[in-house]
Amino acid sequence: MRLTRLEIVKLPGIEPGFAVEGLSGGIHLIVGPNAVGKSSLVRALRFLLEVPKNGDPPDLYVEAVFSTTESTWSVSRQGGSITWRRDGRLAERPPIADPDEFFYYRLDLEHLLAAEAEDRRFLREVRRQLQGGFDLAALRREAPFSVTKHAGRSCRRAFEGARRTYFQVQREYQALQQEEAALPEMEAKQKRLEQHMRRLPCLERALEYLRARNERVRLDIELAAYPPHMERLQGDEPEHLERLREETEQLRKERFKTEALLQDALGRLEQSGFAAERPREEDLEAQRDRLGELKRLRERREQEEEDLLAALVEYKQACRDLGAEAATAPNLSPEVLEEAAELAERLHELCSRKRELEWKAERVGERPSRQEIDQIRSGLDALQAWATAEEISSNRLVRVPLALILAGSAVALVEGLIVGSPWLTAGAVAAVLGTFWVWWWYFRSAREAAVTKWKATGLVGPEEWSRAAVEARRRELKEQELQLEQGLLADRERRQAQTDLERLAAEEAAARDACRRLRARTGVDPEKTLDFARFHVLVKQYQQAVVQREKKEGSIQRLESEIASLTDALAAFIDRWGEPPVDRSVPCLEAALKTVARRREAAEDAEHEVRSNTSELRRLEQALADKRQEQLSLLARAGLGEGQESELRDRCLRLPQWRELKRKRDETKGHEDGLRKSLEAEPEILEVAEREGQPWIERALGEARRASEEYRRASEELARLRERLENAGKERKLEQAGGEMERARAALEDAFEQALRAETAQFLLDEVERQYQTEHEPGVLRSARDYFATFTNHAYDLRLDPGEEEFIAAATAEPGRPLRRIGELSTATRMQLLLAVRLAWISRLEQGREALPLFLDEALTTTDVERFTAVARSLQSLVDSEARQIFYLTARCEEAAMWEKAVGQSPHVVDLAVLRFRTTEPNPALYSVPQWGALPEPAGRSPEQYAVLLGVPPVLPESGWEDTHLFHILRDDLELLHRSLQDWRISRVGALETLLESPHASRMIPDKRVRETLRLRCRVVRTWTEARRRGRSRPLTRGDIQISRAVSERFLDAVCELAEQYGGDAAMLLARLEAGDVKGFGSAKIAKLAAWLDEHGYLPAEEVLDKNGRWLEVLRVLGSSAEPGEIRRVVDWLEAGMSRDPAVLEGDRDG
Amino acid sequence: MLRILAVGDMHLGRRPSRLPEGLTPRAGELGPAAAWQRIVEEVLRENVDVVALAGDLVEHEDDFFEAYRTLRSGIQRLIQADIRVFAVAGNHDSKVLPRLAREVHDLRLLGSDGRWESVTVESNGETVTLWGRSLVPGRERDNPLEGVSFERGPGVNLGLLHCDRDQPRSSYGPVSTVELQSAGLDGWLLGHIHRPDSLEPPRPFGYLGSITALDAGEPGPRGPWLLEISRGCCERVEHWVLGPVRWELLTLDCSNLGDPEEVEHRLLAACRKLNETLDASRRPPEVVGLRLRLEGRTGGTAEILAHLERPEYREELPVDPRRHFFVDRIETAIRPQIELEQLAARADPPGLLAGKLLLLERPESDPERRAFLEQLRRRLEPQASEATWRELGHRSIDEDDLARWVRDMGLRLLDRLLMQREAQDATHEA
Repeated sequence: MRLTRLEIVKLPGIEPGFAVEGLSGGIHLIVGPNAVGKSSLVRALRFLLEVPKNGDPPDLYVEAVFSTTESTWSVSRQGGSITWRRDGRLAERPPIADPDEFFYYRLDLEHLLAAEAEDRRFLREVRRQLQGGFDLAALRREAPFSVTKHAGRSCRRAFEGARRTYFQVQREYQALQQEEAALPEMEAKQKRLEQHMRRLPCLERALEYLRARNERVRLDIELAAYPPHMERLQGDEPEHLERLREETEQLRKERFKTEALLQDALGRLEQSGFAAERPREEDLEAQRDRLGELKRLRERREQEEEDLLAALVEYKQACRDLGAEAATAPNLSPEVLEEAAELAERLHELCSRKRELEWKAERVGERPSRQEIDQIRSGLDALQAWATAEEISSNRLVRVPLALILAGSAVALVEGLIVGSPWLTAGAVAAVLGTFWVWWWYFRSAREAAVTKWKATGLVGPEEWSRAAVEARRRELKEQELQLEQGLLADRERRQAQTDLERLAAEEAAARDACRRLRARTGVDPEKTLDFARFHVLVKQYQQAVVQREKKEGSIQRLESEIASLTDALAAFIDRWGEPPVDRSVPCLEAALKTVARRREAAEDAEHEVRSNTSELRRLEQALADKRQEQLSLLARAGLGEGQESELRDRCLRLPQWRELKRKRDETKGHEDGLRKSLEAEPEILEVAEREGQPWIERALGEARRASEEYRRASEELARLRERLENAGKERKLEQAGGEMERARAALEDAFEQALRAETAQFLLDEVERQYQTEHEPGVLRSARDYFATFTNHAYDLRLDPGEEEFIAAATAEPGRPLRRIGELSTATRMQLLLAVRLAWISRLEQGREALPLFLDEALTTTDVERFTAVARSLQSLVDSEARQIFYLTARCEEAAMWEKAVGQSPHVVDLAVLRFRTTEPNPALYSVPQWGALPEPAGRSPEQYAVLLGVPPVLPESGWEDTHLFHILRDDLELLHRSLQDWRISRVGALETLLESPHASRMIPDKRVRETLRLRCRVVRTWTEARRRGRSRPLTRGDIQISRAVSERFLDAVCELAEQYGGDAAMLLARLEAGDVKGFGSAKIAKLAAWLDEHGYLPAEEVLDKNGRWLEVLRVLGSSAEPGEIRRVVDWLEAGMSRDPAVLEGDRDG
Repeated sequence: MLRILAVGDMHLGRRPSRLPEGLTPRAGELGPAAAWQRIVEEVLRENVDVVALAGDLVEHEDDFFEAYRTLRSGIQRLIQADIRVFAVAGNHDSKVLPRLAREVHDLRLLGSDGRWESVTVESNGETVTLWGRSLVPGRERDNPLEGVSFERGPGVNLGLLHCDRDQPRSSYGPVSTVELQSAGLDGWLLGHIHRPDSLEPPRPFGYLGSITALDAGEPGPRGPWLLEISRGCCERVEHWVLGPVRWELLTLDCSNLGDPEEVEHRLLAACRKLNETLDASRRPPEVVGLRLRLEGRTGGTAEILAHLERPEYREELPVDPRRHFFVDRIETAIRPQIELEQLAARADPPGLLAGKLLLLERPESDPERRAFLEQLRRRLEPQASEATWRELGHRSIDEDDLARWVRDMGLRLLDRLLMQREAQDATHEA
């Protein structure tokens, strides 16, 4: 369906309206400055084809005419009304795309490059069809069918680390083993050194021996100068002599003093009188005992006398208690006691009776009067009479007969009245009246008589004359009567007692007199016997007092006798030893006895002193003799005689020096002998030492000391080595490291197998999907593939990414048909792919319907020549193959020429400015071909100079091989480079390759060899770029770091700066972080960041290829299809081209 | 009676691999050193007369500080108990054993110069002549029996050799079974291959195997072999199973599961049954690693695997408090309830996948099967040759691996696809 005319009569923003007419098939360029109405054409068409909406302009008026092979269709819209006509007649809407699908017919560049929602919808639809309703993509993403791209890398690193550790331990053991191998040699050396060293102490001893011997000889000479027998001296001999002299003098003085003491003792012995005989100490002691006994007896007697006095007092008190008047003893004979008891009992009885009568006589009370008693008794009789009358009147026995009489009388009265007998009636009446009179008279008169009688007594009456009150008053009177009668009886008893009391008083006086007489006669008071218990106690106390008094009297008598005996004995003893006592009193006896004792003691002391002084005199004599002998001996020991004390003192003064010399000499000699003896085990050294002397020894000693030091060092080294050997292996480091390595290896193997299993699963899914697609490929995908193949001249095939919801392109011309995602395609190819997809989708929508024109609204305005050319050719092929009408809207008039240049034919141009504003003289400049910039000719310039002149950008592998400037592959043909840039407007390798693959290639580059060379160079660029990118990640950006969440806000700026500083190189960033470039960013954070970077491919596992590696890789891929020299040349150019400085394009940034 | 204990590959200095994380600190106590200690204790207890060591006694030929000392200590204990010890060197201990023989006087290293050497032992009226030849550096590729004829010694004649049997291109003493059998000896006690043969009286012949499992690839009982020589012949052979670690391949039938959770009970029941058999060992293992193979016919493989692939089972299974069971790996061969052939008749993705799985059931020589696996190999090779795996060395992917992976992954995928379909059906019905 071709649009032939479009008229805008009324449309907001378009004034006045205009019409575009005479439109045919093919491509139409709608040109005109901005706001001239290009987009309004599309808008107007949309208003015609879409369903009217509320927001549409109300005064809308547009018309359009379409033609098909069969008919002409016109459509007009006025306001909200759309009218279709077919061949001038009203008709329904033709079979074209649905109203809401017109959107797909309008395209722009941004639209094409962005995967819009409708494309994704298309994609989903295709996928759904291709997978038979199964979600294979979801399955692909599930574990264990999917592993991350970088699976196993951490395992590999762990394994490498474990292996390094293992080899390190192994190397340590090997080194130790080598040292162990050297052990015998070390031991032999140690043995040799030990032999040398063993002479060292011997030589040292030999040297010391010689020195000691020389010293001893010198000391012998000095000693020879002293007098003989110096060795006999003690050194203290002068002091000793002086001390002996002083001691002799002292002894003499003591002898004189002792002789005086002896004479004094002899005199005192004589004076004591006991020189010849004296009492023995035992006898004196016996007399002292007697004296003590005497004192004790006398004290005891005094005590007994006091006790006797107390006993006498008690005795007298006992007598008095029994009734005796004087100190005479009471008579306690049975007769006396019986008499006393009788008297006492008689008296007691009389007293008892007397007290009883006194009590009766003393009772108080008045005698009651007889009239009062009689009054009460009369009152009682009156009350009794009233009560009796009252009782009879209330008695039933009385009432019932009266009632019976009344009843009988009544019956008789009634009978009398009935029968009419007047008698009977009168009798009955009389009986009744009589009965009543008897009852009233009897009882009333009896009670009244009783009351009258009561009143006559003069007593106070009852409160009322009722039965209860009368009875109460009667009980009161009864009690009063009883009390009055008792008063009469008591009065009679009192009078009788007074009479009896008078009689008893006379009897008591007689009894008391008899008692007094008995007491005077016997000393016993009869009244005491009345209380027998008390009397018994008194008797007992009396008897005890008698016994006590007699006992004390006896005791005193015995003591008197003993005292006399002792006194006699003492007096006799004192008399015997010449001390007659003055009297026989105890003090005198005691003083005499002490005198005897003192005299005896003085005699004893004097005699003892005589004996001791005699003995002392003998001792002093002997001591004086000894001292004399000692002095002589002392001198003789030094070889001197009597009188040579001064010589002895002189020798003693020199003795310390002699002794010191002698000591030294002896010591030296002892040392010398000891050393010589110890050297006897080494006779050779001893002999040489004694023969050669000290110099030889000193030389030999120096050598031995050096050997000893060497031995010590060797021994230490050996000990250290042995310790290391001993300890080596105890921790089983090798086994542990091996275990860790095996463990890491197992993990790596697991990861490997897991990866291959997952890949197997992916393979199976690919196979299933491919097979299913092959058998059930939907037409829409086929259509897109056809479009894409057409647009790219079959350089690419269109596929669906098996894992992602994305299209991919398969480069059919390249070996292995490498697959490229949209992002990996050049912009032109990408546009072609998306255009193909869009057209396929439109084709699906148009199935069975009429086709509509496409509108490209300034789609290529901002694109470069290469893209423009690619898209223009694609669109032209669409026009050629489908007769699709295409409108291209642009503000740039020069694009008409570009279209012509790109596709070889001129499009139909509609200049809206002319159309609308009738401009008859359009500006020729609008149609002039733009000047692309006059490029300078190479003109003998070197390639480097020419590159600088052109401003050639450096080779940036990370930007993709397609964007590599042509200069980098045409250094050897600057003319061709100039022509490509100037004439073909191709500056990038990608565009060149597209050109070479297009049908126009032969026309533009007639020389086949040149075309082949250029194709080869394009492939070199691609291969080299891939090799250069191997092992290198894409640059790490701030956004990536933020997404990782491994860097907190605190460190974000610092880490990002560091990353930027190293060009986004993740590995370098980690290295610098580990080196501490960002303070405080710890190892845990670094590890987290490293894990994320690794997981997301910023730390590629592949080794980075160096310059040579890249060359070899390119040679490996392309070596079989091209001359190595040619490949080498291009590679060198590319390597040189990586310099950022165009002036230094020969540099190698990988250096 | 004369009792000989033949000890195969020990690899002292190595630790058992693939133990769970929790057992890693104890790995040193569960390795060959522990097994060697058990052997020495058992030999001293059981009055063994001769101990014959068949080479590869240590893991590293220059490990003179760890394994060497462990080995020396054990041998010295044996010799102090008047037990005769003979050994031949393997490819791992060409340095260690000669030095040990020099240091420990009564240790007899046979054929240390690469020539056959015999020794005759008498005990309790029985006589054995032991022939041995060590693997000598520089002559490993030589056939040890080439041009050799044995002049029989007194009593039973036994050969002790570290060699690679029936591997003519081997670098470790290649020798053929026929040569060994025709050598004229009464038995061969071989070292090098860790998988033990079944040694039978009266002619014990074969590999002794490792003394304990070193990795998951060494399943089943491990330990030395006791040979009892009586009445002039080998009357009895006993495998002393005493490795502290044991690996087992356990097949679990997942058919007729009422509830996917029931598979755990089945697993534990199977483990307990296995545990009972382990108790009968001379020295039961302390650790048992399991590789599970799930078989049967059921749906919901993913759920079953979710139950069995629990991380705690990777660490320990609650089987026996005396013994540490754990699951190392699970391989599934569970088939869907619909026959693969029936599925393969369908044109949808499950049907196509079933068709791929059925390819594996064809003979290995089937061209389509081979082409399919070859296609997979080409697909995997770039991945297998990635730098990440370089440290594993060159790993050739054989057809068995490919078929195993296809079967495992294919069945898992098929299960998931069928579940997707069930879910879709359920949605439609709803």
